[in-house]
Amino acid sequence: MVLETTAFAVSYGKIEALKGVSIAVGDKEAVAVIGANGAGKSSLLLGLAGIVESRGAAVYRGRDLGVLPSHGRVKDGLVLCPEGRHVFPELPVEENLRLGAYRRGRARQGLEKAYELFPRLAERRRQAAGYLSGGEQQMLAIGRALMAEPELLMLDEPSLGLAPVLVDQVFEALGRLRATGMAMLLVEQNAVKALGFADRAYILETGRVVMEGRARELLNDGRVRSAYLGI
Amino acid sequence: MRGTLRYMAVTAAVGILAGAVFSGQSFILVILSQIVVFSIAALGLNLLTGMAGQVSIGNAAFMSIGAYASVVLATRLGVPVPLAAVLGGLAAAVFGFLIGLPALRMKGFYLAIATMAFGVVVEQLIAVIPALGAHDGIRNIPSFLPGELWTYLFNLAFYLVLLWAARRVAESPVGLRWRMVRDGETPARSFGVDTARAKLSAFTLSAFYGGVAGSLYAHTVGYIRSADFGLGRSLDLLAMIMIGGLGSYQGGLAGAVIIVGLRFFFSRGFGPWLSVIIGGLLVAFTLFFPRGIAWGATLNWHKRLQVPYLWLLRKIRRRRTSMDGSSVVVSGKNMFYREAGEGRPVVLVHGNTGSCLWWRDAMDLPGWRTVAPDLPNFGRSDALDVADIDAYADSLAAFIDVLGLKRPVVVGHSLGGAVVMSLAARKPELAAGIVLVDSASPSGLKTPEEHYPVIELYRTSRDLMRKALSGVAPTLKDERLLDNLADDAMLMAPHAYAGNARALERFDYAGRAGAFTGPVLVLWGRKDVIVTEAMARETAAAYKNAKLSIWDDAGHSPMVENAERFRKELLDFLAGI
Amino acid sequence: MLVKLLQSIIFGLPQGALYGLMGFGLSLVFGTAGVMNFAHGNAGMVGVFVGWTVLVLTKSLPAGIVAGLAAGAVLGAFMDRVLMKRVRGLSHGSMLIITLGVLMILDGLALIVWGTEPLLFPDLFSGLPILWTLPPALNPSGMPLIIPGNDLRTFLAALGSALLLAAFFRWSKPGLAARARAQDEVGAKAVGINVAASDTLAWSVGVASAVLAGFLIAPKTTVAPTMLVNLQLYGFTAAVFGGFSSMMGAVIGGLALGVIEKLVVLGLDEAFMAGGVAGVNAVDFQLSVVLIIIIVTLAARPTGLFASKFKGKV
Ligand SMILES: Nc1ncnc2c1ncn2[C@@H]1O[C@H](COP(=O)(O)OP(=O)(O)OP(=O)(O)O)[C@@H](O)[C@H]1O
Ligand SMILES: [Mg+2]
Repeated sequence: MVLETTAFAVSYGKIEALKGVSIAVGDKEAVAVIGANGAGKSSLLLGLAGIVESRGAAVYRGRDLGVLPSHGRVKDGLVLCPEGRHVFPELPVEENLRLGAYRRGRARQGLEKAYELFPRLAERRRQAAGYLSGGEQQMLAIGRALMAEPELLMLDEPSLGLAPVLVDQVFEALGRLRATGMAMLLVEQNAVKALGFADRAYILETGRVVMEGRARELLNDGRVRSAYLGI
Repeated sequence: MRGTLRYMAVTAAVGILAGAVFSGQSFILVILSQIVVFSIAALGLNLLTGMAGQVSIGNAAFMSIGAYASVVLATRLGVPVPLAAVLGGLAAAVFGFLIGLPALRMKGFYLAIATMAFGVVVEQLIAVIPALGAHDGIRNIPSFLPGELWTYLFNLAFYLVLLWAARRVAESPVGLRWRMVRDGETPARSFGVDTARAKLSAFTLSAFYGGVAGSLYAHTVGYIRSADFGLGRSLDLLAMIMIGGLGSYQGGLAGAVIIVGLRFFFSRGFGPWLSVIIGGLLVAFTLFFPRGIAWGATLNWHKRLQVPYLWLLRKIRRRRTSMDGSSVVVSGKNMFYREAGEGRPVVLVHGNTGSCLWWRDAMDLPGWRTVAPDLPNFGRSDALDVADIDAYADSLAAFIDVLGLKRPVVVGHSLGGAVVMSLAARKPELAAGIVLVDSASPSGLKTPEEHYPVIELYRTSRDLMRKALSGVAPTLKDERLLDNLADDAMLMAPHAYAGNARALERFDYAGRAGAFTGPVLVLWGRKDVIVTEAMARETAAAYKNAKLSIWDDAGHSPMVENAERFRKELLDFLAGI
Repeated sequence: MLVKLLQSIIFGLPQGALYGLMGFGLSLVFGTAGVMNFAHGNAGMVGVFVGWTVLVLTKSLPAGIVAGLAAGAVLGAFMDRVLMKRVRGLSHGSMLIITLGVLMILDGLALIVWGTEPLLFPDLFSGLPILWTLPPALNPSGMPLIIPGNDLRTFLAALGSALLLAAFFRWSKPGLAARARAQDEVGAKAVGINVAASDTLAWSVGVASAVLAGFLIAPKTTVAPTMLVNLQLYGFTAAVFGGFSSMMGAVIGGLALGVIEKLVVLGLDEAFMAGGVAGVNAVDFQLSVVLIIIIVTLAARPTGLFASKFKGKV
């Protein structure tokens, strides 16, 4: 088991965004989390990354994350690619990528891989990230997260703002990474893609897990299909 | 406005009293004068920083400009002192306008730097002008009036007038625009606010207040130096409004009492500590009491200080059952009601925080017997353990039964409308017809969660209650009736304040209300701020046999806002039954 | 005339380097931790007092200087950890008012602990002035240019340290992290930057740099509670020139300011002389002129002269 949470909860002041969820990510497993807007998916990932405060237990590779600060989690290979990109707008693309390897990872190899994955970024390596298009920034954010050579990669809506062909590319790239044994926790709006990609999935609704199971089975479940897949 | 007038009256009384008590002690009178003068300057800063959100750390410079201008006018050009004071204010206002121009393009920290620079420039430049006494300043400035007492009272009068004016401005559209700028320039702009003009007017007015304060200061103390109006003074002013409460009109006075008082207290030998204490207050208030003393005082006023008075009010008012009303026992509880006329029965059901008094002017319906109860939990009737619409409706049904009213027409206002809906849906045969006046709709009425703390405050504050009721009946002109309605509202059972709002939230007769098939009149006033037009239409649509009547110039409470028209419309409806 | 002009520049540059050092500290804290520190000068002043005390006790100038810088670093860390941590997420106004409160507290504390008597501080450097005579073709009067020895060294020390620190924050890994953190906090946390530590570093270095500026100016001003008040204003101006997020910009802005200031005095002097104005001293106007420059600059470029493009904040 790479990650296991019990009664994991996140609140913002009085608002309980995540009301105690128990999820698990196994070795080399890709797990998807889907749910409507405001269901608490981002809160889950931010809490796991230590960027917002959380309650409950989260055990990562046999160690309770407890109050471990965010940088400590990155050091242990628990890396988040946050929703909304959060690139450093004034720094050039390459500098952004290098910062991805700030805590762990080898900058040189990482850069090569990132440029290989997203040749577009290589063309813009000297440009300030703030000048990139939304989709390019998304590529940059993913590339930056990969720079840390994650052991568990948490992705929050990686396909957001990308053209369909690029979405396919991203998922293809993620597939290759998975083949190397990297565990993944994937939050997606694009539920069909996510369920098609993942091994298992959880469905969140107003801060709670309302359903879980093998991704394939959920993909064929009538309720899921009508509520989340719009089929 | 009433609040301000009352506050002004209290301040004037306390101020004059203080003057009288210390009339022989000129030292203390000068302190009192300074408190009042700095309150004016703090008020000016509060308009700019608290209202319009523009942090200035150079406002003492406006005092300086006003002081020097006024002194020059009075001593060299022979202008009468009171006029010189106002002209001093205007001179400062001109500078306020000028510094406001470059400040238009700046925000936050940058503006703070610019205002600080402005303050230091004024201080430095005045200090090198020989005609203004350079570093040594000007001495022997004549005062307005002979004697410290009159000077003090004169300053106090200025403060009160300027306070009143500030309140007027703040409540005008100009003040609204300031607050919009404070809460976000971009959104303000998208609402069509000319943010540049708004900021400029705030700067100018703030400078005017500072200038007047400066001239009063000069003529009170009799001696000015440009160093008296340096960065330290500007920080004093900032401390005053932080301590008193950012954006509060009264707060500046509290802050001035503390800061000026401290300055005198520490004037002998403890100077350095003063700096530490004022700095500490700035930090502490920003961190722990960001709304300042005035807010705390206001909250206490609404939460605690009126409690004894309300206790007394409840005691007295409950006992006055003689008041042309009667009581019956309904399911073991006393219910109070009033009635009028003879004929077929009409039952009038009041709304939330209501009582039978709301129907006072609607009860005279020739040919009909009108009966208006206080629902349980309300007015002079006994309380229930719960606050629930169905429970109210059950009590109402039992009440109708006990009084032996045969097939009455039942009229419900607001929450009372929900009660009537519940009654009519579950016992359709009971009523011959129903009238729903600005009623909650069949799907209930949701109160935003953040309003609940305010609702809780109504329980302990008649002031707020009265204010709320005047919003509920926006065109009601009868102040006495409003007072009485507010007094009656305070009789409500304590648990019902939040309880009724929750009850209306739970209330859901969507789909069931239509069980009543008799004639229905739905009345709605366009100025209603609680029930929307959509809700009124939803209510009318819930019944097979409903007529919707919309009044353009009434709010939530047509029967008190225009009783004449209400009776007429009601009689028309009754005639058709 | 040319000599006067050159002489003004020569006198202006060392001052300018001090302004630049001050501006560097201000823009460091603003550009990384996002706080405009109005207590910057006074925090530096307290550090200088500590240094002076250690100097008197140990009779060792280096010990005093090290102690002063360390005190500044600790004070900076304290302000960040204890005060600013609580207002994070509050309005800019709140942070501003807190630094103003700290300004007053430090002022009072210095008076309480060290009193109002100005305390002498030894020259950090000594050296003979350098005289330099321009060729007669340019300089008919034959007046030499004077470059005071300690001014030259002060200039080198201030400019050198400011540039060194600015370079550190420009190119080192912690420096890069600090700037990245200012641009996107969530992004910074996501890549594993220790944001709290980064802020503390900026505050510590920032306040320590103010202490350094204080040491460099102390031989002239003496050690007193108000010693850095004006220097802070100059620092603000320098940082405003630099656009507040560019530390190099602040250093260069400071140099420019030092020269402009002396030229303004020269110009005013000439004007007063030509206009026959008596009884006023051009030097009295120098601060005012500088401050008017701040206001005008801010009005023209509300976020500074070299402000970078992607600044949504403030
Ligand atoms: N910083 C915050 N402060 C207050 N409330 C927040 C904050 N962030 C999120 N919330 C609230 O918490 C709830 C969950 O938000 P979250 O961002 O986790 O949802 P989500 O599932 O990621 O939604 P989406 O699909 O739109 O990204 C929402 O109701 C949201 O309004
Ligand atoms: Mg999300």
